Amino acid sequence: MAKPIRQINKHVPNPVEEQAEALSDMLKAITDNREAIITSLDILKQLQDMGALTAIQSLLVKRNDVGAIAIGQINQPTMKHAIKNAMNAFKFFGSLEPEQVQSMIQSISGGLERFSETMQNGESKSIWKLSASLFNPEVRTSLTTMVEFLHGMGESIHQDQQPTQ
Amino acid sequence: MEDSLFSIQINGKEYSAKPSQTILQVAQEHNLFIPSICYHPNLGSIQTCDTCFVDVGGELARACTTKAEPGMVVDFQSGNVKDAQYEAMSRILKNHELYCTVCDNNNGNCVVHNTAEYLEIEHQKYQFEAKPYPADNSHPFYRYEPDQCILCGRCVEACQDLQVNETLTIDWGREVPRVIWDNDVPIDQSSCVSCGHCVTVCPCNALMEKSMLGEAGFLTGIPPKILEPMIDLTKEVEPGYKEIFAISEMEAAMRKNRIKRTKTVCTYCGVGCSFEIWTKGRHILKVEPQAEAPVNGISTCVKGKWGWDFVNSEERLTKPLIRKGNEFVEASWDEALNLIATKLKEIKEKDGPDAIGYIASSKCTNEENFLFQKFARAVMGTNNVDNCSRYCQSPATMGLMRTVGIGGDSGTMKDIEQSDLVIIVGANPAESHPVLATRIKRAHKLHGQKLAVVDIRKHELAERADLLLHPKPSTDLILLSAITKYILDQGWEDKEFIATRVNGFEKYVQLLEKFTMDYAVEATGLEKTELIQLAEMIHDAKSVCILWAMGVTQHMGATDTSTAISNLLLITGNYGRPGTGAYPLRGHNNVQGACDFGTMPAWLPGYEPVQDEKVRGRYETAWGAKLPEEPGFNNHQMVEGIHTGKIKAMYLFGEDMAIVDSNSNFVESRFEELEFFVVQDVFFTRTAQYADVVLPAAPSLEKDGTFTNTERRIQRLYQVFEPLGDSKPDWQIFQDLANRLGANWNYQHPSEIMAEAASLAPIFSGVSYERLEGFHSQIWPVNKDGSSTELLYTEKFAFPDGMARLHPVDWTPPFIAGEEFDLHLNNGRLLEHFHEGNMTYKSEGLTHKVPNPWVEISLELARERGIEDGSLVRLTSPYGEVEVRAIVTERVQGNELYLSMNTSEERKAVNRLTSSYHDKYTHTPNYKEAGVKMEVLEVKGEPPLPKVNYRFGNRIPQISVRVEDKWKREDFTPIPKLFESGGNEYGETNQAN
Repeated sequence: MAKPIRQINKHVPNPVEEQAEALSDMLKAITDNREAIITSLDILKQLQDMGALTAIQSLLVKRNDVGAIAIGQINQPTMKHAIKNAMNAFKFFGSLEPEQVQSMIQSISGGLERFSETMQNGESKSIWKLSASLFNPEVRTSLTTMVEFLHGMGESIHQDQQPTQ
Repeated sequence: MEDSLFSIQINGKEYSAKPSQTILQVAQEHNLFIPSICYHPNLGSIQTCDTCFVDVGGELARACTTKAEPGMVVDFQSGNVKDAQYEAMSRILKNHELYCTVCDNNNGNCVVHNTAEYLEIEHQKYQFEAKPYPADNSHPFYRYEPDQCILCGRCVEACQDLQVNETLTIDWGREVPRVIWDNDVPIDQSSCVSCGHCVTVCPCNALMEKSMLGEAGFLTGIPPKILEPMIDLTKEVEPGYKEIFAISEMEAAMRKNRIKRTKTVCTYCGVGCSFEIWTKGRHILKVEPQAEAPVNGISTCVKGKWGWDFVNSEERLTKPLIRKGNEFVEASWDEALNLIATKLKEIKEKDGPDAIGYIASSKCTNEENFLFQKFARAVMGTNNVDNCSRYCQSPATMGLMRTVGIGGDSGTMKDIEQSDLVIIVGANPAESHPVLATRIKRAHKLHGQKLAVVDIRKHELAERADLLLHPKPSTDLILLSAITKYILDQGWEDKEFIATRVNGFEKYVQLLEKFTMDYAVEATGLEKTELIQLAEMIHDAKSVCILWAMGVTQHMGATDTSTAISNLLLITGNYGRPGTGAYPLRGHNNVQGACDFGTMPAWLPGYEPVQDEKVRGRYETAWGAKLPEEPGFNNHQMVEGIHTGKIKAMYLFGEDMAIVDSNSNFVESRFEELEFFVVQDVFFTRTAQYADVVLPAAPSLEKDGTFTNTERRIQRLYQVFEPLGDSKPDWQIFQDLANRLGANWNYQHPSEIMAEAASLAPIFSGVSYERLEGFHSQIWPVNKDGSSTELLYTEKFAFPDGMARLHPVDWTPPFIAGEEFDLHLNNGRLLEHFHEGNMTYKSEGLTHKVPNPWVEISLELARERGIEDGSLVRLTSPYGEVEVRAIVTERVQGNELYLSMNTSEERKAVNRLTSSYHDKYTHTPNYKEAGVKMEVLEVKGEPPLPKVNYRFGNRIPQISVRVEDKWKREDFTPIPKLFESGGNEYGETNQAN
């Protein structure tokens, strides 16, 4: 004969037992990872000494407020420009052919050598001599390159100004 | 159909195509990607997104609607196609802010994201414009954010033409169109049945599960005061979407590590929907249906889509409980199982193996049911094993076994879908089998299917029916027989079918003589013209399916009425062809499987009789045990057997018998008499209160296994969570117990149990877990090579001579409670809750929609007795009484009441009122034959059904999203036109997109 019953006597785990169990689990994990934990503790100590931990702690506690301020700061026109410029610069470098850049850098450094010599000598060429330099094939090559560069740049500017389809 | 294949050229290459395929379908079949945001395989073409434009012979055409034709030349790589697609996508992005990385829908499957990325959209061509509407967060389960809505209309299409609830429309007439619910009311107050279709098909984050919000992404939980400036910043400095997409893809990939996607099969009704469940830890992020799911595709109902909170309920049983004095005390598994083993052994030795009864569960897996009957038969030596199909579908099973040989649906939902005429007798699929009902509603709305309903209650399908017959309760057999006779009298029977495939015609016709029209008119209270109309509809239809459920099977003449249905189908030749057959709709997820896998007193797995020596021999060899030879007790007989002293102990799992059996007062007092009672369940049920030992079981999400749906389709479910606390999957519990009783079982995984069943039961011979992998399924009988039998009886019926048997039946008058009990009490399910409600009431959202059971009272009766919505009434039958609040409705008429059955509150439970009378062959209780008297206790009161219930909504039926109205807008320019005119002005006039 079993009358219906609803009463359930639940075993409520003894807090002391529960704690002991948790502790032994943790102890095992610690001994298993002894080296890693000791190193981590050392890192933590250093961070604590320099005050970094309390800073991080406050940052985490106030993350929403801090986040709002930070995003507010970033959301300024100058910051937006900076980010955009940085990204454009990044794109620009990405679009350059490394070999061309290399040869250009080499030529620039050659130019610089002569440039610094001139600077040291304090020499200044007469107009006649300068125009005579135009007959020098090296100078001509350099000037042609520069003019072609200006050509390309001008084309680009022209294109940008025309309405796009 | 191989010969009808032809080829078309796409991007310069030849591809094979089938007639009636669209260009998009051909491309998809060959894994060519054409953008198609509004197209969904389960919905078809909607034509709102315009991203699928391709070049067909020099003209721009929609790939989603243009049919492939032999020799067609298609191109979607040319410049003008790219331009058109780019324009379409740009129009979409005007309506949708891209902040993917901080969007909860960024899970790799966002259609808008993926399409924008594919089209290499770099910048917003048209500035995003917020819509002047706030987000609608009123519904407990999902939200609508107009600002993110691209107005593709997938949700509307799904609501109007797939679910066919007809709640959603897009109002193209406004300056800024949006999706609206009913006549533009908050979602929660609309006719929305919360089926989830719209949310599932939304190609972006406009419609989202609330359980996903702030949970799915790594950054999506950021508070708005940081999130909004972050979105602004990103947009301001955006280097182009390519980089943004790269980051969002990385984030989406990271999410995959954290979000687990597991395929499962729904635990609720017998339709057998399967879907993925997305989880993060034990948090259920969402139910994500997949187009490839064999039964439901992307369809779900409110319970399958949202009703899973019970899994994490604090009320779950997590430890075994042992009765000690006046309380249950928590125990270890060892203690509990040892006690059960000792007690069962003791009683078996003292009173014999047949002194113990075993009740199995139609909620648990095939493997668990197989193991349980093996335990009862091979370990404990008795056939006293049964399941809850005894409460619902046993009469249907028997009616079919008598006439066609197999007690299951004759075909699949595909047949129901394509049938010319669907007749529903005593069933309410829109609430009890919602996804199956959607297929009927769709076929009826779009494809000209005829629908006839025979019911005493005007449920949703009854409202939609072409013909609704409301006979006097319990007279279906007369109605069906009279129609059959009328068909014979008119010479409309399928003579050839009868001559070649059916036995017993002459005798049957003789015994049908008494069912004249006049007799039927008198007995059913219907007009002769109504009966003839149904007969004519059957005659006119090339294919007929008859669906029935508890409105037929829970009567004293239930088996005979089921037989009459089958007889009618045989006379009209409606078996064995696509679109025909008998469909007893199974109530629980695995009623079919529990029966199939042998938890029945007279049948071994696969419906082989226990009395057959050869069959028994096969099992005895495999199991190394002698099996009992005679059929055992069924549920009903077990309960009676307790009283007569034949049953001393019971072991019951996954069944709240004290609530679900009829005349529950009687059943409960029997349980009190048991010497020893084991109850195994997920919750501490009402039945568990009578137990000596209660074992904590794991629900479907916490185990592997298979379920078999109403179509006889076997589908795998995969484990989503670890069992909660100390609970265990039922099969493990049986194994642990059996081994304590000397069984020596060693199943490591349910697949091994299925392999054993397949090796023993011929109808499962080709079933295996490998073949059921993922969304694959098998429909029994399954041949050795693994092939399924979708449609039964195409060549022969399941009798030795292959012939069907007409089985004459006569009418059994229903139980009449007595003159004093002047009202007829009908009862049944609701859409929002399931069974006794111990799972669905754990969901806050479901309880918000339906907090209480209620009784429905007709307008006439309400007027007569002074009852209004919210009145408290007491219903009294000879067996008990309940007190429940009323809803006055046209769904019921005259003196017929309807009491919803989903409650575990005993003061409201219908089975306090039902009797112990039953079907004479199967002992299924006559739940639907209750008589009651009614007293009004309080006239005024809080209505039991809140106004936020769909039943108070106002549907807006239309076909699809009415894209024509969009095209008619002044600010709309068709994309091809734009490019014809040179293209300079395009994009300036596209507010409607």
